[in-house]
Amino acid sequence: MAAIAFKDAMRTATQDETGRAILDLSEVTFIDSSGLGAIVAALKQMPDGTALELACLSSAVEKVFSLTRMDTVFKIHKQLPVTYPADV
Amino acid sequence: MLFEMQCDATPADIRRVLHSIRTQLSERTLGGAETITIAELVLAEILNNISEHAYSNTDCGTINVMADDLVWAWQFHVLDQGMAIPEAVQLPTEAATPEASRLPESGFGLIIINTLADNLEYKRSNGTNHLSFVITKVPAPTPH
Repeated sequence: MAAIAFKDAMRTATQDETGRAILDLSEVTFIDSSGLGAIVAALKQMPDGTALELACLSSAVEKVFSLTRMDTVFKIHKQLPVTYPADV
Repeated sequence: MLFEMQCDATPADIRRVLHSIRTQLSERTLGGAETITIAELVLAEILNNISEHAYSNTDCGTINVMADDLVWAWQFHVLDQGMAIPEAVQLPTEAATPEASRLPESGFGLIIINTLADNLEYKRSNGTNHLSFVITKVPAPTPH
């Protein structure tokens, strides 16, 4: 259920996006396969011509992305780019 | 035996037992933080799969998790009385290179289990599923 709520929240947050959105994962210490699936689903539902990128992955989260090769699908930032406000 | 724990096959109780296992492993063994994370990733996928598939037809299944400390590794045993794993389920050996146009949203769990766990064995006897596997301890970085 949490995964569905996340997808809905992401749809609301990104529906008017025109450029790129960056998902700050600094508070996420652990992710399982359904959480990963929800982030991939959020990528697939992004409006045409926009991008979903990730930032601040913990070592456990990074391991899940690299094992499943989803680290080749997302642009991953070590830190939030400074030109973005904190709530993007 | 390092520990034996039981949980209900519900998301909330699975989270509780994963947290409890993390505490036991960090307080009572010499596995480093990375090994504990690997064990937690594998156990989370296995317990969630039991809840979603083996016990898909009931709300009141229980799962037992046992662990042994083998010095170089931890051996885990996970038992449930749910439905057997269908023979058609194959564990993928590694993740396929994803195509941007056809990204999968599921199937990641089996990849995580099969890549991180060693000596994975499954037995079905007397109505019980018995899954055992080994998590090899990652050596802590040696200080220079």
